Amino acid sequence: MTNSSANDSGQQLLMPASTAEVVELLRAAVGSGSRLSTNRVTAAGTNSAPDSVRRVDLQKMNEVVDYPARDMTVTVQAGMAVSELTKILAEENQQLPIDEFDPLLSVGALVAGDIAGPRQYGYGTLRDYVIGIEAVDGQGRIFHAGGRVVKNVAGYDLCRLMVGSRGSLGILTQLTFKLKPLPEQTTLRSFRFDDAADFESALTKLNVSAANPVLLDFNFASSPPAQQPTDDSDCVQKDIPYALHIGVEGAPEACSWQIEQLRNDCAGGEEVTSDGSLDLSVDHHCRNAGYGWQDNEVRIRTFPSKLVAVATELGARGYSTQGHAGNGILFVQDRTGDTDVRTVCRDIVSRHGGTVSEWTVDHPAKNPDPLSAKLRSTFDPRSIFTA
Amino acid sequence: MPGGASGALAGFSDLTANTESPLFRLAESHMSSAETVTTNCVITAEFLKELAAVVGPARLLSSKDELLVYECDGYVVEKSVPDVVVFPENAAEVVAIVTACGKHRIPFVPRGAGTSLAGGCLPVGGGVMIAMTKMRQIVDINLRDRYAVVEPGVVNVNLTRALAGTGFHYAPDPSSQGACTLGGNVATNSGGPHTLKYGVTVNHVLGVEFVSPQGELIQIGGPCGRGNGFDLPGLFVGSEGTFGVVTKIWVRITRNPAAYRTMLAIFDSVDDTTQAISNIIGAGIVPAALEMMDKGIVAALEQAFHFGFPLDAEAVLLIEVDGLEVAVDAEAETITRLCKDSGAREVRLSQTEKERALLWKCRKQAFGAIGRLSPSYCTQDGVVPRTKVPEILRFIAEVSKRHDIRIVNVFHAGDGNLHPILLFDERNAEQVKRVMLASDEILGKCIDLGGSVTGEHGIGVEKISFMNRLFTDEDLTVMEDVRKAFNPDGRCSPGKLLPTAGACGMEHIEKQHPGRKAAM
Ligand SMILES: Cc1cc2nc3c(=O)[nH]c(=O)nc-3n(C[C@H](O)[C@H](O)[C@H](O)COP(=O)(O)OP(=O)(O)OC[C@H]3O[C@@H](n4cnc5c(N)ncnc54)[C@H](O)[C@@H]3O)c2cc1C
Ligand SMILES: Cc1cc2nc3c(=O)[nH]c(=O)nc-3n(C[C@H](O)[C@H](O)[C@H](O)COP(=O)(O)OP(=O)(O)OC[C@H]3O[C@@H](n4cnc5c(N)ncnc54)[C@H](O)[C@@H]3O)c2cc1C
Repeated sequence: MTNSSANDSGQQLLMPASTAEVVELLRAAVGSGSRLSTNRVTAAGTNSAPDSVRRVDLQKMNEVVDYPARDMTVTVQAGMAVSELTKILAEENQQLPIDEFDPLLSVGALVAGDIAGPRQYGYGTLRDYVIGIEAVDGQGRIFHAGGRVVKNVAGYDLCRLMVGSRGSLGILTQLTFKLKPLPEQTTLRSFRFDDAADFESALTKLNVSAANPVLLDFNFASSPPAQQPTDDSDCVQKDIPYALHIGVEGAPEACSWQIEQLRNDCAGGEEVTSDGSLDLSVDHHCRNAGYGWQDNEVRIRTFPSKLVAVATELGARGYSTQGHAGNGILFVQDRTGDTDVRTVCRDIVSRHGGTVSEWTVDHPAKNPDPLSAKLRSTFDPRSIFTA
Repeated sequence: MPGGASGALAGFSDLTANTESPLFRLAESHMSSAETVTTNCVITAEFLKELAAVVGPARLLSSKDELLVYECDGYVVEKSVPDVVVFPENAAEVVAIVTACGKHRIPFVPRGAGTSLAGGCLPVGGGVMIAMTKMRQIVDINLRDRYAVVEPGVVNVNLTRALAGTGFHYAPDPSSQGACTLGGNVATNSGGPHTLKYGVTVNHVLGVEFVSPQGELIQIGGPCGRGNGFDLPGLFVGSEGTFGVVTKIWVRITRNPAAYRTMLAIFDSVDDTTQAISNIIGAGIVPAALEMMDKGIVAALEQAFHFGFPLDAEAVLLIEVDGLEVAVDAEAETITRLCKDSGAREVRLSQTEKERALLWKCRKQAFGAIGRLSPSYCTQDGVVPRTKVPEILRFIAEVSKRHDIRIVNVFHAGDGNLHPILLFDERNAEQVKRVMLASDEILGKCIDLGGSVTGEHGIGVEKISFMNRLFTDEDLTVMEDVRKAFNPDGRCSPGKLLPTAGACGMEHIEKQHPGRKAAM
């Protein structure tokens, strides 16, 4: 029998210990007409699931199923914490290069949320790493896709479909990832630009840089200063209009050589040096930059070439932005309190190209396009999974 | 069809005309399955007129002679002549063609260059073949934002050629890149030698525009990726033509490496060679490419290209590292050391660009050389975990001996993606049977070792019978449901990828008539 207990809000928590128990839960839900959610109750209070929804937590399914390190693949149960997986892989000098920032985040949630951080510029995202899945759909059917080998085109690619599906198509129970070696060294450099044109010119040069950056992040503090963000989670002081953070990796001599290239590319800016109180490591940056999620934080995905224009326009309207410059991703913080940040973003993005989304609002399961709706009803015809 | 892949097999050239043939029965049973609306593929004059009104008579083939060319792709075991071939020039024409097929309940299949090695564009049960080769515009190249927009008929290498001198390229480089189309690559999720480091097609596709089997023009993803929804482009890639007809593709383009070093490591034993592969990957080095060629294939290549391969070596590894000028030498040195520690007799570094280009030409045109070895050959596409390469190659050697069938190997060793090429004479029925048994055993062993029966060629019609060895019944039901979400009545590329009703007719053919196929 599946363990269950009540959480703080009195909501019933179901803790299956095996895929068979997950199936059992699904069958019971189908039978009783109840609904299930894999969403954690987060501090941010994102889980607004009503009481009738029973929450499934896979923390008991936290085993390594198979780690043939020399094949550079790993298969784990979906309830394992990403931080735990990171540790296990590090022992073999390997990594799943997806920036993890929440010690409690499970591998299943990582994949279902398609979490991606600064190093997506150099390493890509989870769609590039998930090579096999096991999941249980809304009818209690266990399904697999992919396998344990790095190259495999047998059958439809349901792995990709499950990445970013946010618990709306099935409960992931097991995942196989392809891995990368840990780099010998990583180095971060930050540059400041007072002027949009200089910043844009540096980004254009970096696009064809002789160096090979793995991360290319920025932040842009809006003016007037009164509306600048107050938190100092990032490593660069907030009075810098445009700050660019660039990470490189490799052998020590490769890193130093690349930094010289970056200095040339960023000649229009000024290198920010650490006074010792600032942590200029890639690790620190990946753990902090971009992850101070606020309610209503809006994400814009635009063309990298339009990033400076979008950030500058938002800045002029009092919004600070930060994000992944190399990927054209901006996170917009609504500190003005008096405008509808979404409307402003939509307006700006409609002129430059791209999409605007909010984590809580823009759930893929709410996507109205007919194809997504059909897939949703294929996997979850009774709407067991809350969106 | 690329070299070596053509040529009818005795007894099969008249298959399509014969309504008693297994293929016909396959098509018939497929079409009568529960959800399928097509009961019979009857091409009426009215239907032909409607198609002609869309594409004009010059872009429509319906005479028997002309159609024969389209009876198969690079997989020549099974043949089926389409009733009509049309060559649309734009998405609107594709919409009109698919809509007409819907109205008359005619099955249709998209086709690119026809280099599929799995029968992906076999028109099972006849119907309309939509040949995409006239939609070959490169619509846009945006270097700053690193993407290109292409029509599906663009030949893979033409995109990279169009990018020459810009410092960018399109990374997936199937050995057939001189012929195959990007639409075909999307449909099969193609790989190539450099996918070891750079990933396969799906890792480079940002968006797809396609005509659904219902005739709607749908865009999923785009230049800024997939937006907020499900990763529909990710699901679409590799669907082998069963989700609709691709009319436009947004692909990522990749920076050229600043430097590369290309090496040829020479070994006196296959075991040492596979050990070196295992040691390189095990050491956490991901070269840009790591390809193995054994003695048999090297001999054929030497005859064809006079590269200077050592004919007495048991196997060679073609290894390329790329990246920063400051880093490649150290990586090349480590690889050289690992190869020597594993018993390499010699590791040669390409000294000139010309030498490197010739080495790659040899590798990519290996198929052309195989004709020198045997009248017929059959290429398999198994995958094993990379560290199982030594074991599977020993097994292949043992199978070769046991069935007395010569097998040569040229493959993507770094990915564990094997291409054993079984050499035979198709006129010798008994030998043909042994080839089938040997192929089956090799692919079965790949599954036993934790691998798959296809790394890049796809399931097509060729490997349908393996699907239920790889997947559970429930997996296949879920996949079938996904197929229905896109293609509810199965009229788009019937009889492919999934062992739905009717697929069983196929094993019968497979067992008796392996194809003479292009190797890679
Ligand atoms: C306002 C806000 C903005 C955010 N913006 C971003 C962003 O831009 N980028 C980003 O990467 N993250 C973003 N996040 C996500 C955040 O970093 C956490 O990942 C998230 O809050 C996780 O907590 P959770 O309670 O939503 O669910 P979790 O339990 O962590 O699960 C995350 C998602 O995965 C599903 N899930 C969990 N386990 C499984 C499983 N086994 N099988 C199937 N589905 C499963 C859940 O249903 C949920 O949809 C944002 C969060 C908030 C609150
Ligand atoms: C010598 C040789 C070497 C090869 N080397 C490799 C290799 O290294 N790596 C590799 O992955 N493959 C390789 N292949 C296999 C083959 O080239 C690939 O599968 C290729 O992607 C097929 O492209 P094509 O344009 O020829 O497609 P086709 O053979 O015409 O069609 C293949 C599949 O794609 C579908 N399709 C084609 N166009 C469209 C479209 N516009 N919309 C929807 N579906 C479509 C067809 O219906 C069919 O299912 C090789 C083949 C040969 C002959």
